[in-house]
Amino acid sequence: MNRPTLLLLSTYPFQRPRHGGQIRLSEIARTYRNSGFMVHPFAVYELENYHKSDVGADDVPFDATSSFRLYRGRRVPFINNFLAGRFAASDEGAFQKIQRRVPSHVDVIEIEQPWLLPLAQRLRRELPACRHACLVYGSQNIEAPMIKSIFDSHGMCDADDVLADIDALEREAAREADLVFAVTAGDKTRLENFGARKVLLVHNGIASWRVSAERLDYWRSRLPAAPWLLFVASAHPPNFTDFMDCIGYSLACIPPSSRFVVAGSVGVHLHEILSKSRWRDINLSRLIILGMLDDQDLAAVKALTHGFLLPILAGGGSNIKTAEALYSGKYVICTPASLRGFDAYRSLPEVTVAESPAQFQAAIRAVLCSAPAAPITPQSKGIREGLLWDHCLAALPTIVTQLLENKKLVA
Amino acid sequence: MSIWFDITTILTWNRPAVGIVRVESECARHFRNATQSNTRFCCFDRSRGGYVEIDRNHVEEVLIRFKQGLAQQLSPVPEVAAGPAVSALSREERLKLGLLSLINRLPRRLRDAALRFAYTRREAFYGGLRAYQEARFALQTLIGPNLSPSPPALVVPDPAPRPDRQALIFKSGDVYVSMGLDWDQKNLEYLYKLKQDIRLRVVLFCYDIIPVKLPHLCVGDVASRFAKYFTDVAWCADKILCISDCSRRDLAQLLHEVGAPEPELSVVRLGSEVPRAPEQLPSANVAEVLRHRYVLFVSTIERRKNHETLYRAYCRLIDAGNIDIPLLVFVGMPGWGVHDLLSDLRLDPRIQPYIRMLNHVSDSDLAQLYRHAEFTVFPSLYEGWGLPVAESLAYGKFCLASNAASIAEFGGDLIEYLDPWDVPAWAERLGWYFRHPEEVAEREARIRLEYRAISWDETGAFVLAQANQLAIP
Repeated sequence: MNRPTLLLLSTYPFQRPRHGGQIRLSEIARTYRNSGFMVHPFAVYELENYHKSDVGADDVPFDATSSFRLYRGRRVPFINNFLAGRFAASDEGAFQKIQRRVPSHVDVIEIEQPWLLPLAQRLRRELPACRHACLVYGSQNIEAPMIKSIFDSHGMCDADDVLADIDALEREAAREADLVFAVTAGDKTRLENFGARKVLLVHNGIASWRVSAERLDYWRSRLPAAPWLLFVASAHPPNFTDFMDCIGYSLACIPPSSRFVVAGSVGVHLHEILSKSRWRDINLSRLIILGMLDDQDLAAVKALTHGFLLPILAGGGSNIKTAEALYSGKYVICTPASLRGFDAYRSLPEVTVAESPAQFQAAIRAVLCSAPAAPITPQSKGIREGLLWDHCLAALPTIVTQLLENKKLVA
Repeated sequence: MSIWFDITTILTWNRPAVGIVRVESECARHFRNATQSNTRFCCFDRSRGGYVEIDRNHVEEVLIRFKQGLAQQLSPVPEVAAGPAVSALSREERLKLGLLSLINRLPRRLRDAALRFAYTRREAFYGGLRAYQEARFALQTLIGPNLSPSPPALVVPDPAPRPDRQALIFKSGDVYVSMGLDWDQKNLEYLYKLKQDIRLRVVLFCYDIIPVKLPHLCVGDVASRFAKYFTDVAWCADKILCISDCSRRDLAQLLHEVGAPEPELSVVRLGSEVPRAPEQLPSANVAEVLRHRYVLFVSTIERRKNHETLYRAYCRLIDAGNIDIPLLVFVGMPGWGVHDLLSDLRLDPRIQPYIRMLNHVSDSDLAQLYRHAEFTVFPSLYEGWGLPVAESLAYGKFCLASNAASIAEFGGDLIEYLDPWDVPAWAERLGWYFRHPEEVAEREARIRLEYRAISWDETGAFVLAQANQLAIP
């Protein structure tokens, strides 16, 4: 068999992967390529959110001034990914540009999340090169309920039509795809209930990280000598609303000499909320906001922390931050939702699952008054290896190849 | 193993001992006189950021001055052997020191006004400092590369200096006791590090959490600042001594609410014995009052003490035709939030003949005022303890008191309690006791028979015993 050709469609580029979705996509592409696939990524991305060095040659910008940024003539926040699908599949949008760049023969079209399903459908319908391509749908979570929770947290109550459209798109993607990837067992069941023919569980994984001695020294001199906890997250609204729901509005559970360290763009929002709280002086005396860090700095900060905080309530998928925290061997204080897809790790001695602010606070106090978590043993190292991308995605190329062969046989 | 008693507050106090200063000086006296040989004294030198031992003779000298009611001179603090320098203080503390140093250079007549101005606007100064830091960060982010290899931190609170073991006066297993104005004078992050580093055992005090619970009754917005203080106290202390069950309950509730740890909380009863000052001839103002019948209210004149209810109750009595009623005597400094009340008292012709306000009253004058009062009143909205009630009982005087917070803990059924907001009830009960002096006399007889004031020695002994329990041999 010739090298299979795969179009990888997404709503964000992954030349310089930073957030969880980009990292997953980048690893998927790497895994396919390592197995001989020719991977052609097409990202239809929000122009305002990425630097030109972030994007690939075939990626298509979705301009903030585009008329496709309106939903039925009105502006609705948090749904640009969904709107990107309509933009990508329209002649007035990016379709003509994309179709000119599609290779002469395509075996597989894989959509990461359901957003670009309209593009995949049109390519399969109209382009001879894609007519016989298999459709693979990589679900990262069940989107409609998650977006509803974002709307709810912002008091948006007039967006039922948007939610209905997103729900319909998601169900259509599940039904139409020859193969669906789910990241948790719960998502797998839901996708099967949507009518998906074949759903495969493909956990989110992580790449092991190296820490530079120089960055380690740099951060060691700037962060507290006493044990401290780390929270890494983007400015995605549930990241800070969940934090407040999980931990409350006071950081009094942090000892006076310790600190709560926040990395990532969520920091600005957390700082704003915690400094407006009734417990402002407690919070500001214990909070360190680092802002966005590059990989080397983040690796050093992760290596120095005493433990990770994973206050995740929203979303149906699994979380790469969880995998990184579990892999580190440090203390992990998390919600049951953050362990979705990682149930096997719940019993690790350094993992504490908290279900209320009081439980979170008690766990934080206990962890910060404890000696560092015990070193990783050979047995637990084996369990942790299962968190790496290489392990999580290993079966992907084989299964897709199998799918192609089956299709050929049927044909 | 030593038991250390912190006398930072009385070392720096330059007025007669009141409230917390009195508690610290009386307990220091007990520690000083205790037969136990391992009691030692220390103070926190904020400018150098470390603890310093205070010689027992120096302590004695300070206590004698307090006993004589003399103004305490600012005591020179011994050098810290190798304590951290001022540069190790936080930015906010450095700003504060700088401002204080500037203010101290002003002529004396301007100094008080400048201090008051700076104190009431300190949040604005700190806010300005934070705004500057954030603006600097924003500027760096704006003009710097998108992802700097050494990103500037947006918010990094300055850590307290790590204790220098060589310079420490404390040894592992020692016990440290502090009951002073710690929110202004100590660095609790430093104390926590000491506790972690050398297993120092710590006993701290909680007088009340009124600044957090009822911040509207305090000067300025201090709720957040005191919530942090009590949180840090909870992290530092192995044991917190609360001065009433009410304060203990309030503190436990606060610690639970904010998610701080809850160390052992015990209740210590403060001394309320009558000072044995030699009786002198009353001052002219007091002598004038002593010629009349009067009810006595001893307290700073501030919103929380609720003089307003008494004013209104008296007006009701007067409006109802009760003319032959005792004077209402307020003893205490005018404080915060009573501008309108003081104006009413000055301008309302109904109340003018009945009101007397006395300030800067000596112990001797106060004792005479208590002894000759018809009875005392205390309509406070909230108290962590309620010294005037205990004092009234110690003088054998009946008190018509508020039923709020801790007040009923001390008077039991010897006195009568009323809702502090219920003006008609206060008017009715005041009028009733004015018409029935025999009932007041009966109550007083019972008080003299049944009430026993706690002595300061008992309080000091209790605190020392609590410290001894924590000592690690």
